[in-house]
Amino acid sequence: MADEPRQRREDDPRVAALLSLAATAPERALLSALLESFDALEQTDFGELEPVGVGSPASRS
Amino acid sequence: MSTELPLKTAAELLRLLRRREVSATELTRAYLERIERLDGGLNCYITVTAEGALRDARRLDRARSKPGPLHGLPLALKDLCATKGVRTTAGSKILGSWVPDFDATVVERWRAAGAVLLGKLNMHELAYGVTTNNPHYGPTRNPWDRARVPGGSSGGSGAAVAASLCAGAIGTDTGGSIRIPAGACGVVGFKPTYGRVSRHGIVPLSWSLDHVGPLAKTVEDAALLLAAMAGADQRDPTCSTRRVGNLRAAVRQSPEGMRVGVPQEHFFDLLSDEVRGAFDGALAVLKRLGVRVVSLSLPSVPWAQPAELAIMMAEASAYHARSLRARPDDFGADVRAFLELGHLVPATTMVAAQRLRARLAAECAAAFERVDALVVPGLAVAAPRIEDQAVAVGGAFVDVGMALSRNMMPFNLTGLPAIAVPCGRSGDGLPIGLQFVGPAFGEGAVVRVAHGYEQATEWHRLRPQL
Repeated sequence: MADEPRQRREDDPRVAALLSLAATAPERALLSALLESFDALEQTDFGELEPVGVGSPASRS
Repeated sequence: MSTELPLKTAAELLRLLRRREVSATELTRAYLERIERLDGGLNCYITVTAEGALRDARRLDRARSKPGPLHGLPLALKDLCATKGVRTTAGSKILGSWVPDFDATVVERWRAAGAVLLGKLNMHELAYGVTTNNPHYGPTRNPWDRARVPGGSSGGSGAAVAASLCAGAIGTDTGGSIRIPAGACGVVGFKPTYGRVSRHGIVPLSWSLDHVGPLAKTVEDAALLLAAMAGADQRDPTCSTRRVGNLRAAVRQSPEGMRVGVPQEHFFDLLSDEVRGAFDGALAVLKRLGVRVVSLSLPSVPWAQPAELAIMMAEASAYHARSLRARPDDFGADVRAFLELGHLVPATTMVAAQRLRARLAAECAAAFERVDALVVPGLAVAAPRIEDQAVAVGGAFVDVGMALSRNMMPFNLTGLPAIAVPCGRSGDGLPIGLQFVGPAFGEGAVVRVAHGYEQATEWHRLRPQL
C-alpha cells in the first residue's frame, strides 16, 4: 500500500517515455525527483476523516 | 542631469514631475537613450515602444486635467500583459505574432494613472521557469554580472529595474516569478494577495496560483505602483472587491512594536552560508527598530513545493494542451518537458495537493493571530550562472529551479502577500534578499515592516556599474 504511487508510476509507459526524452542526466534527475515528491505528497498523513481541502464551492459562500 | 535621471527612484521622479522640474518628454527621452545604450548587453526588452511612449509623454505634458498618481512616469510591462496594437509574445514562439486588440486591466490602470509605457520585457518562455534563458528571444543577463541569470520568470522586469531601464515594471508570480528576479537583481518585488490585482488580459500559467504585481527600486515605489494597479475588476472573477487601503500611509508608519514571526521549518534547510548570514543580520536590524521577532511553526510548509508543483503543472498543461498537441516543436525544450509531464500528474496527487494547500493556509491564518508579518529568506543562493543546471548549496547539488523557488512557493499556494527586499551581498558582490509576508489582504503590514527595514539599511541604494 505504502509504495502504491511509486509502483503505479514505474508501471506507466508514458513516464518511461518522458524520462527517455530528457536530454541530460540532470534533466532526468529533476523529472524523477519531481515524480518522487508527488509520491511522497500522496503519502502525507492528513488524517483520513478530516474534510480539509475538499469542500464544494457552495460551502465557501 | 538627464543621464542621471533614470537612476532615481520612482517616488523621486514623481516629485520632480509634479514640481515641473522635469517634463514627461525629457524623462522618457532619458530612459529611451539609456535603453538604446545599454540594453544590447542585457536583453531586457523584447519590444521597445519608443514612438508611442514619446507620443504619450508629449500628451501628458500638454494635459490640463488633474494629473494621475503616476503622471509622466516611464514604466515597462512583462511581455505577457496584453497591449492593444503591440505584439504580446509571453516570451514564446507560440504567441510570437499575437497583437491584442485590447489592454490588460493592469495596463489600462497604469495608463489611466498617467504612466508612460516604454515597452515589453523579456521573460522565461510562457512564465514557465526561473532563469529567463529564453530560447526564442535570447537570455536576459543580470546587470550585476552578465554571466549570470536575472532570475525569472519576470527576468526582464528585474534586470530592467536594476539597470534603470525603466522606473518600475509589472511582473507575474506563479512560483516566485516576481520575487526571484527581485532577489537575483537586488530590487524590490511585491506579490500581492491572490485576488488583489486583476489578471484580465494576462497570459496565464496556472490560474489558481498566478499573481500580478510590481518590481521597483524601493518599497515605497512598489507600494505606489501596486496602488495604481490594484482593486476590483468584473472582468476577472477571482479579483476581490475588498478595499485596497492606503499603502502610502503604511510607508509613513514606523515598524516599531510590530510582531514578526520566523517559521522554524523548511526555510533554513537549504541555504548558502552567505544568505543565512545576511538573514541573521536583517533580524538584528529589525530588533534594533523595535520589532519583536518570535519563532513559530508551520508544520505543513515542507510539503508546499511538491503540492504547488503538482497544481501548477496540471493547470499549465490544461491551459496549453491544444498548442502542445498542434505545435509541440514550437516550445522550448524545458517548457515542453514540463508541459508533457503535467499530463502525468495523478488525480490522487492533485487531491493531496489541494488538501495540503488548505491545511497550510489554515496554519498561516493561525500564525497571523500571533504576529503581524512573517520574515523568511528569499533565494537560497545568489544568482546562478547562465549555463548552470544545478547549484551547490548545503552540501548538495540542487536543480536551479528547485533551489530558487523553494522559499517562494508556500506563498503562491496560500495566496498571501509577500515582498522581496534586498538584505545583503555575496562574496562575489551579488544581491541577497529576504521576504516579508503578511496575512491575506494585509499588504499594509507588509509595506510597513519592509519599508522600515529597508530605510534602516543601504542595500536599496546600490546600483550596478554598467
